[in-house]
Amino acid sequence: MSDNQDLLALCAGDSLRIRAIYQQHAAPIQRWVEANNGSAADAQDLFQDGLMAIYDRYCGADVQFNSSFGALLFGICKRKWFDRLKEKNREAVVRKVEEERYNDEDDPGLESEAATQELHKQETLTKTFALLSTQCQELLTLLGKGVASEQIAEQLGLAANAVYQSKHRCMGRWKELFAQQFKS
Amino acid sequence: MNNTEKIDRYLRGELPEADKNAFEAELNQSADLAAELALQKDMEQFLRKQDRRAALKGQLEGMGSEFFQNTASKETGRIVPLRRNQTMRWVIGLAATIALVLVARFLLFQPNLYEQYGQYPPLAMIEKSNTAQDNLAAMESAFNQKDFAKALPLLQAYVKEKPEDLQAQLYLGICLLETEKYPAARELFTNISSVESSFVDYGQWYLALSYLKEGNKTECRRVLQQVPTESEFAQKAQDLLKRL
Repeated sequence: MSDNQDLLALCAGDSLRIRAIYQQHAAPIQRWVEANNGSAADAQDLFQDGLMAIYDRYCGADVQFNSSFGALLFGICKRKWFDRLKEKNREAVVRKVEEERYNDEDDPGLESEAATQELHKQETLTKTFALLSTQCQELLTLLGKGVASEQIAEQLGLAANAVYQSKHRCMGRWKELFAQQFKS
Repeated sequence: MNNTEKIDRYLRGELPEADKNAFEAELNQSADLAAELALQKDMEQFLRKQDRRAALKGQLEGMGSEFFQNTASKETGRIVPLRRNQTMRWVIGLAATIALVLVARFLLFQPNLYEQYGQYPPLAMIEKSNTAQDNLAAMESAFNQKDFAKALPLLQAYVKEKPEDLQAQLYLGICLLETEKYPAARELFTNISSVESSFVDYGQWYLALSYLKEGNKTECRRVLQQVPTESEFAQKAQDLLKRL
């Protein structure tokens, strides 16, 4: 019940309830990160990533939410921290984290993996979208908002029949950039 | 027609029947094409959601630092050079002086308790409704700039339209409180604190604050004493009780 409320609050951007989520889970996650060679600032980043991962996977998507919100959040934080340590190649630490990761019964396994993966996809989409030309970004954003193509043509100084041609060109470029950067 | 265009027209339902059937047959054959379709769907969804997502991220960035504090430095056995030591002494001396001044000020002039405790998170309603976005934006910005007189009628109109939205009721109560319409504010807070929801604790806490702001210590104390230990405001309530 309350797990579902936490999810709804996150999806709706309900500040009061999101604060309550921080209040409830920040301290244990910070303790865990600090016990694994991280700082308070690392914990804050991970926590935010965790919430964004949950948002990306469940909000507005047709995916059932069956997990405990806290356990899922913790699972994603651990996973992200594990990945970050691996990047830094700190093997000794990695081994310790890895052991814990596979012994942790509270980690809802597949769900935290799927949410982490979804976050990575959304972040890569964000990053590669920003690499497109300004005109492509404007055009795609307007289309995404449901603005009529005639209006977009006028606003961007395009011929009326060029809107979708440009869209296909921009999407094609975006797909290329995405494929270069996204490693699953 | 390249794949991007074909997929786009398919998703928009613009492929003629024959082309559509051919495309679907191809889709069954080619995993690559299916993956491209999935990616383009993700991109469309990204474009629809990007504003909301960025807004949420900004919100989290704003509030996160409140909840993660550096615990005491863990460095051990480090040799501290003398100069830094002297600087530290200076800093400690200065800090002590400031602390002393603050304590003296506190003893001389009891600071306004309501101003200390009457703090609330910014209003963020924009994401909640699709209707009348402009009004919501105006309401949110008026509230967050503490222009309560301006936010009040906007919130009243919103609550009239959506009486079940307890968060909006809570913010309306705060507006009424800030504009010193105490009975109306209390009616809302009492209601919020009696309906089973995630806002129960808030209703009770702001009810106490309404008495504090009006200077009615007896009633304020009475409400604070009812705050249960599992309330989000239990600690604050205890602190405030001691200072009343």
